[in-house]
Order: sequence, then structure tokens, then C-alpha cells
Amino acid sequence: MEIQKIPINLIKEADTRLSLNYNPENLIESIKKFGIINPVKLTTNGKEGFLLFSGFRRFSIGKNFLNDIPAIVFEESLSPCEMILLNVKENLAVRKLSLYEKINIIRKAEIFQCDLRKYSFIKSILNNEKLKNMAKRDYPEIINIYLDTGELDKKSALSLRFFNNKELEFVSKTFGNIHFTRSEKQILIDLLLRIKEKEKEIKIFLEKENKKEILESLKKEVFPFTAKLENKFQTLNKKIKMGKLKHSPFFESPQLILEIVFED
Amino acid sequence: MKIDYLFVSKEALKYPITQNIIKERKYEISTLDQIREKLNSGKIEKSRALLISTFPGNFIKDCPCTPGYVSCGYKNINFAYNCPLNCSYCILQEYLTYPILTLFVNINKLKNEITDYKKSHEYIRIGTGELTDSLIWEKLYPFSQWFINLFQQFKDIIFEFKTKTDFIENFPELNKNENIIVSFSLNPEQLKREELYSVTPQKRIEAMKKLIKMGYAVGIHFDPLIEHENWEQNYKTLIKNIFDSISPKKIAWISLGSLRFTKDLRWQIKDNHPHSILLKGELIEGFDKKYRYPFLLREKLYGEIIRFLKEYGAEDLPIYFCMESEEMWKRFLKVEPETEKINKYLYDSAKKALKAKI
Repeated sequence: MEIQKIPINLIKEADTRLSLNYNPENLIESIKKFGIINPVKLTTNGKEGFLLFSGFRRFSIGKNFLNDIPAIVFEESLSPCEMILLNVKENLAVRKLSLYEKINIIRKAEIFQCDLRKYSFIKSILNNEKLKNMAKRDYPEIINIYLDTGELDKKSALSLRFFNNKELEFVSKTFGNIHFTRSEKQILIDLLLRIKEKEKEIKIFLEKENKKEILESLKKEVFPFTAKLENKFQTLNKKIKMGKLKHSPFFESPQLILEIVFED
Repeated sequence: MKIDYLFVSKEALKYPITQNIIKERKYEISTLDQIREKLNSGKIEKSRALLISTFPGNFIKDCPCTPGYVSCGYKNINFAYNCPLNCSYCILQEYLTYPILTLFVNINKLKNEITDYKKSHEYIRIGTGELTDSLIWEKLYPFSQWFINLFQQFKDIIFEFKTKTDFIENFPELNKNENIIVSFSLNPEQLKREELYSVTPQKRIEAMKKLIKMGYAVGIHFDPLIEHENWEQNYKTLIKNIFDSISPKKIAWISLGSLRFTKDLRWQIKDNHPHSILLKGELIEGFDKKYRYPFLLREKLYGEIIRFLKEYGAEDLPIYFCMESEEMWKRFLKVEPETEKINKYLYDSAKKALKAKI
């Protein structure tokens, strides 16, 4: 099949899209700079114009500043199930599917009544109990973004469902303003969730100035018994000048690592 | 236990227990996969469905304990899976292999299995309460009588029923009982909403009292111990109530285990029990990656509970820990934290309680 240049205004999106309708900054930048390198997939379905079934993101970014788009056109008529299958195959050839896409495969297979179990890579998704449960839920947009981008691990992203919209706004704003690594985000969300479990407001903690203050204040609130002991221990440690002590009172560990620094 | 959907596997149909249960009940021959499909499509309600099936492997299993903590050497007979009592802390909420209440009726093979097992094991302590409540099935079939009859043929094995119910109507009076004990898991009545469909602690204590009169020894499991408002006072009252009703001499063993649960269970608790107080506790990550209270908080809990047990019960009660660290054992208990020694200690204490006259 040859690559053709198809005018944007002749293309419509099929309703078999698996990815979230969200365009990451890095893809926008890349398309602006280099254009669309990997052609999108279209079908004519015997009608006028073209139906897009793979490359939704490239298309939605490209249509903002391109007149035509590189595409491979399938002349034969494709069923929605075939479009889903080809879309999955194409994506799998270059990357892993996001959690959001896996969930959407289950949803779309049900909507279009597709029997996709004969394809082993899809069968494992369709048989996964946890994914099936997730497919039954409607998540707020921000959770879908995290599930789609992988910016948060699955558990942290899903645990955001226990936050209300206002709280979700605080969390995403904090992530926008202060740089947290992926694992720090995981810790932060876990601590915030525990604050909620204690029926307390999360806002006051997120208003702290920096990462350290946010995490410290949360730990004090979540682990009051442990934090008190830790404070006592650190005060004592300062007095005897024992040096660095590598430990976390927030995990039970069979070992305590003592690092004694001898000056000169 | 209300059963609206009764499924029977083809293999289970020929067993007398199945025939007894299905008579006058509507049932459907079904496989596990078919049941799963029905569950997924919302055609049946999980908590109201029962599968009668056969178990292909051995019934006797080592109690799995948890990595990094001390095991007591207990054994399980898993003749059924799941439980309708709906306790907020229950691990069965995330048990997916058999998604509904499941009863295995090919237990007639147990006699041979036990005979073989005995050849390579001694001081066996075994029970039916790990993956189900031992007595929730009594309204369907008198399993208590069945197990008592079986284990009366193996008097050197201590057999334990473990329950949060008071379904003791099928228990026969025993003139001579050398090995059957009935244990009750107990928590203060203030935590009743964490054990939604269990009977009240007072009813469980009354059942214990009756069983002792009928010739049984009893076990008590304070598990999970839950830190909550006024926990000292509430556990003190509970323990006082127990010893106002029963003699410490007839207690085979008392286990203490503080609240712990897997990371996955946390989500089940949030979804299934939004009003539970469990997640409000100060929970850290243990050696086994499960959530549990910090060591010093657990120490405080155990210290107080043991003090109450000694104050209202007796100085030398056979207390042990469930899934606890060596360090904790050394702080509170006389028996060394080694599985064989613990098992022998508890085996002997059960024998002593069974012999005790009141």
C-alpha cells in the first residue's frame, strides 16, 4: 500500500478510537517540528470521503496547521471490529498500549460486539478481571489522562477516583507547580488519600511552599505516633552527633543502617 | 445465608451432600466459567450465589502465614471458599479464584488424606476456618457433625472450628472429647459494623458457654485487633465479659493478631466498606509489604490485651500471636518463636483444656 496525501477536510474520525482525546505537549512539538512521519490509516468504506481508524492523535494535532496528511488508505470496507483490530496491531508494532487503551478495547469490543478473543494479545486483555472492572467505571478526565499518559502508576492514578473534583484540581495544580518524581507523586497521593480517610482537608497540606514541607506535614498528620517517636529520635541523634542514619520509620524493616562518619 | 442462585458442577451432582442440599431447591448445572460470565453480565448477585463443586487437589494445606513473621504451624482444610459475613477487613474480598460462595462436596476423600498425612506429621492442629467461616454452612448441611464424626476417628489430631456465628445447633453433646475445639473470633461490640453480618460478641460468648457445657473446649481469636477510640476500655469490657461466662481452664488457645491487610485489599475496603474505620489507623508497610500498625503501637495493643487477659482470666493462658515478628514474641510470650515449639505448645494446651473438668 502506498502512502498518499489526503486533504484534512475529507477525513472523519471513526467511533472506534481507543486512545484518549488528549494531545500530549511533546507530540504537538514533534509534529510541528517534523510533521507527521508515521502515516495515519484510513478506509473509504465505499462512501465519499475517508474514515480515520488509526492515528487519531496525529490527525487531531495535524488538522490545526496542515492542509493534508500522509495516510495509507484501505480501499476495502472494514467493520468496526476490524478497524479496532488494525488500530491495536499498528500501535503494538511501535509501543505498548496504555492502560486507558486497554480498558477501551474492552468497552469498544462490547459496544460493537466484536469477538476478538482469537487474537491472543487481545484475549489476555479481555480476560483480565481487573481491567474488566475498570472498564465498567467512568473516571474523571484527569484520571483518564494519567491512565493514558502513564505519568502516574496505575494504582496511584486509580486511587484519585476517591478525590472530588476540587481536590483533583488541587492535586494536578500541585503537580504543575512543583516538580515531583513519579515515585514521589505515588507517595504524595498515598498520603493525601490517608488524610482523606481521616476525614481531613487536603488543601492545607498542598498550600505549603515546597515539596519537602508538603511531604513532612503530611507524614506528621498520617503517622502521628511514628512521627512523634521519630522526632524524639532525631533530637537525641543530634545530641550524640551520630551522623547520618539511613532508615524510614514508616516501613517495618529488619535492618537499621547506621552510617557513622569519622571526621579526619 | 440467603441463596438465590444455586449452581452445581456436573461432577458434584452424584454426592449425597449435594443431593441433600439441592432437594426442594432450584439449581442449575454450571461451570465456573459460565458463572463468571453471568457475574460479569450482572445476571447474578455475587453474595447470593452458591456453587457446589468438587475439589481436585488435596484438602489439607499448611496455613500460609506471611513472609518474615513467625508461623504457628497450623494446618487448614479448605472445604469451602468465601463467606457471606461481609467483614470489612476480610482477605476473601480480593479472592478471585472462586468468585462466589463455593462448597466442595467430595470431602469423603478426607479420611484417606488424613491417614496419609499423619504418617509424616505429628502434633497436628487443623481447622476449617481459613477461607470460610466454619459454621456458616450449618443451615445448609450439618457439616459440624460430619467433621466431628470424622475427627473422632483421629483422636491425636486437634480439630478446630472457627466462627463469628452462634450456629451451634447441630453440635452433638460429647461425653468424651479428646480433640474437638470450637473457636470464636471476637472484637468489642463497638466494632460490630466492621463485621456486618456476624452475630454480636455477647451471642458468641453465650455459644462458647453452651459448648463448654456440652463437652467442648474453646479457642478465642482476638484477630484482628483494631485500634479505635477507647480501645483499651472496649477490649477490657469484652475480656471481662468472656471470663464472667467461661472458665479459663476450658480455653485451648488464645490468638492475638493486630490488623493487617494487603495493599490490594485497601481498595476493596474503600469500595465495599466506605464507612469502615480501618483505614483511619496509623498503618505502615510491614516486612511482608502488608499494611500494619507500627511495632511500638502493636506492642502497646498486645501489652494491654495480655494484661486484661491475665487480670480477668488467668496468669498462664495459652496465648500466641498470629503473623507477628520474632521480636514481639520475645517481648511477651514464654514459648520460643519457633514453629515446631509453638505448635507443640498449642497442641499440649488444647489437650489440657480438653481434659480439664469444670
